[in-house]
Amino acid sequence: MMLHTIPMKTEEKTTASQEQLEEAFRIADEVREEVSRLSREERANLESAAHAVIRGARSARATCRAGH
Amino acid sequence: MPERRAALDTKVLLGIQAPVPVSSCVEAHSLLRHDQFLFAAPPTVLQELERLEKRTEAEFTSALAQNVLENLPALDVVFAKFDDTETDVTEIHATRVIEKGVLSEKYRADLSALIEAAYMDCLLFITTRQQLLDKRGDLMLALIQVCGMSHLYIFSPEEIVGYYRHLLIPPTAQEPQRRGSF
Repeated sequence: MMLHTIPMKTEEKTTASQEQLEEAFRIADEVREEVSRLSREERANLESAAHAVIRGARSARATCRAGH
Repeated sequence: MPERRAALDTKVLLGIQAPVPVSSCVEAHSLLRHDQFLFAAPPTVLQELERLEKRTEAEFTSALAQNVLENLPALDVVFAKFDDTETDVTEIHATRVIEKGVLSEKYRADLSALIEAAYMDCLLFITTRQQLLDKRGDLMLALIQVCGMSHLYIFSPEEIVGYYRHLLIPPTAQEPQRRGSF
């Protein structure tokens, strides 16, 4: 197991209403049950996609910093 | 001070990313961060965030999940990719805890997230899942006894906020002084 961390501190929040967050929580509960029914391969694919999103954001931020 | 890690469950991360007045997620994260904690997102949590991001029919939830993933490093959240052996062991441990009757099969993903957090050497697991909070005593013992893992304390964001608020209130003459940290 290898831990990954990227030292960037630009913390950006998402504007939300109470209703929107409650809806997100409800869907998150559904997804928790869905994920437990997925095959190992499907879960691995999801995880790889999540890592790609994180890497993409890191790359975009690095490009943005270099541009300034 | 040695590095201490708190695992954050999916809904806690969503709550940190989208702060609303009645949610304690942001405050719990800030208080733990101020107390020198680092944070971890177990593989199950990452998988769920990605699954949420793909729910494009729920536009806000999808965007929120994407924002969480993109913002994880800024929130001091580390993450890990488990190899096949670690995934096998996590599944075996989850099955054994289910067989012991601590939680039912329905909560396998909750158990996986918990066991992964223990694997990632987390001291705390911060969750809003009521079934985990209700069964935390049995779960903490199962992690030690069934899984042979080190201790992992399960708390809600509200409990974390309550604990630190108590520390900040000056003790009265009637109340014994309580100072400390996790």
